[in-house]
Amino acid sequence: MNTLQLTTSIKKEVWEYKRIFVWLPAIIASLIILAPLIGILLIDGSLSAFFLNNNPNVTWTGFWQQIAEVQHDKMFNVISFSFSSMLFVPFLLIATLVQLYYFIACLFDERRDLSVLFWRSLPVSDGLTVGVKLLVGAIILPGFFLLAATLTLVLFLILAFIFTVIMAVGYDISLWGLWGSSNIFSHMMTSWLNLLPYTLWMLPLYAWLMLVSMFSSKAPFLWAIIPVIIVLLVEAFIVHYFNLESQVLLGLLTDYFSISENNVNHYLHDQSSISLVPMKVISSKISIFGITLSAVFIYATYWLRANRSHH
Amino acid sequence: MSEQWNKDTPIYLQLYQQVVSRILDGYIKEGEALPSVRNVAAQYQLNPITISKAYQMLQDEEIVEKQRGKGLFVKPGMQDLMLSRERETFLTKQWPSILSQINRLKLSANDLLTNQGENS
Amino acid sequence: MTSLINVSNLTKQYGEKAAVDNVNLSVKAGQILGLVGPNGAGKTTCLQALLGLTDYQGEVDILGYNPKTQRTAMLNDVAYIADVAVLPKWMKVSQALEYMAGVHPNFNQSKAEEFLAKTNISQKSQIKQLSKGMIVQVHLALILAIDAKVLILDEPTLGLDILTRRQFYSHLLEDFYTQEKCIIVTTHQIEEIEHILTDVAFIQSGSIVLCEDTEHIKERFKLVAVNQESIEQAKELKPIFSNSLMGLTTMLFDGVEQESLSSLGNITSPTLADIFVGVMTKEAC
Repeated sequence: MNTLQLTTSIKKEVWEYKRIFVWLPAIIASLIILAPLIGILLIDGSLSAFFLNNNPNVTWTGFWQQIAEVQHDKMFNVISFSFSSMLFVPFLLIATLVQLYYFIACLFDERRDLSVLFWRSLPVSDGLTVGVKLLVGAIILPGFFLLAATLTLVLFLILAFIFTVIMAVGYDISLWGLWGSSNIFSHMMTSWLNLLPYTLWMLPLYAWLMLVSMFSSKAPFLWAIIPVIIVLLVEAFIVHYFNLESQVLLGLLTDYFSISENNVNHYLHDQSSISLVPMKVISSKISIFGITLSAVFIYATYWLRANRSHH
Repeated sequence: MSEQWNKDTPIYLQLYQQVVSRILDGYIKEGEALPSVRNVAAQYQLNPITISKAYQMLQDEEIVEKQRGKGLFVKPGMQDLMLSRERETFLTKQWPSILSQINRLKLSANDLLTNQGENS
Repeated sequence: MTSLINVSNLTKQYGEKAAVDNVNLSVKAGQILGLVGPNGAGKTTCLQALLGLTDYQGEVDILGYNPKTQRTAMLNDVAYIADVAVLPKWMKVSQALEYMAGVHPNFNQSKAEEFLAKTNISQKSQIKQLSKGMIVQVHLALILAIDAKVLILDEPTLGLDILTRRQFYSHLLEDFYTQEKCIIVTTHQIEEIEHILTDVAFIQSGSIVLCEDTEHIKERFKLVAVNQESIEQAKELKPIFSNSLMGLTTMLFDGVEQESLSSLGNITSPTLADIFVGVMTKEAC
């Protein structure tokens, strides 16, 4: 195994799934950029509704006035953070769906069209293959979406810059002040950095899907969902029959994957910088058990690929 | 194209014979190189060892000679040599039985040479 | 002459049944070995053992590698084609070349490109746009460009038309084979590659029933069109196979001298296919 093998293998994954890696984020980005632009062109004043989500009476001029007023306000930091987060949200949502699809497909497609016979005739170890698919699905794939989101944000900033230059002539808006207090760049950075704790949190799910991708001979999606449902149903039955307290497994699963108000508030209060909140929240969800379970799934996936691909 | 090889003679011998015939008929000229072993193997769908054996025999019989790095070349004077060898083989081995057959059928030289197209 | 492949006492059991039972094989440089046998004879299992795809008992050594424990390293010097048409459908030819160059240390990209230049396959085409024959050519181009010492082919021409089959073997002989390399082929179509093989091994029910080089095999086996009156006498010599059709009896003899047979009738050399049928039928009885 060497660097060239690693980079070539990553390239191969991107080639194979190019539609979802490159085209999909590009399409979303274009939609996000185009939609408000069309909105601006068609309806004046609705822009503020889009951005600030309040009072439809606010007009363009009112908007700039507000900026002039709040630019040095601490709240501006929060507002701009919310804005950039909102911009990232559609990208991240779609990225999640695409990731789940990729993990289910990554080891299934090659067995379905028999190309696994070709891949395994080459000196690429199964460990490298499984590792690369995990890396691609967990980091590189969301990376493409984050990149698209970041570029969209940058584009918006450039447009905003142009607007403020034109519009701010009558208002006392200090551009550097705006940039300074909005901390746009640190917001962007944290979005990227959040990827790491997020990956560790979601790792059990990724590993489970990869394992399903490896062992199912058809309908991997069903294989991913149905065993879990069956286990939960069995548990529900047992709980009901024996009149027990509550469903342990169901509780564990829902707790693990959800972010509650409490979580957020806990961190919201004792942090000075809002942009660190998501990272703290996400990091708190990572569990040793989850990581261990992921390791087990990943090893099983590797073992199956090394020993059972050809059956 | 793959040839139809006679089952009863080893293929390398048949190949040897084929090269000899080609030289005799002038298709392979003196001083010309024989095609490479690989080439012949690929064309005739034979294994290279068979070809090598035939080529070795040609070398042993001094019909071709090896030129370093360039391959096997037909030696000068081979066409004539082949002609006299094949003549001898024909006259000593094949002709006598043909001759006795001609006598048996009581055919004259005239009959043989003018009736060429008649009895097909 | 060094052995590139050495198989000793190879055994693989599925429960009670042995798919492969004490098989011994060795392939030297320059040999082209055909492993021939009916379905279920154990050819595939043998090949899987050679390629490290299954557990086995016994020893397998390919170029000094243990295929089970050193599989990835072994594949640097061993090429195999499991099925000539299994290239990934989504890939473009240019991507396949780039991938091989990045992943295989012994891949010579220009050699592959030279080979492809002689075909009418564009580097921009996707595999799924190519006909089966073209896919074979691409796969072959990739394999030829790896300077592998050992090539293992598992029914490589299954499902291909005759033109593609001929081309496949032509290219193999012309562009791949050298005296330092060896090839193992498993196949059903013995007539087609009969003359290409330097050695042949017949396998049946997990055991090798015959392993011989193709020259000697022609000297060893004789096909006799036995005269009616000599039939009883012929039977004394224990033919391994006998066939009567329209009053003509043909018998196959193994290792019986020419002189003993000459009085019985007309002697010819059997084809490899004839020998295969004869030996297999004998074993089945």
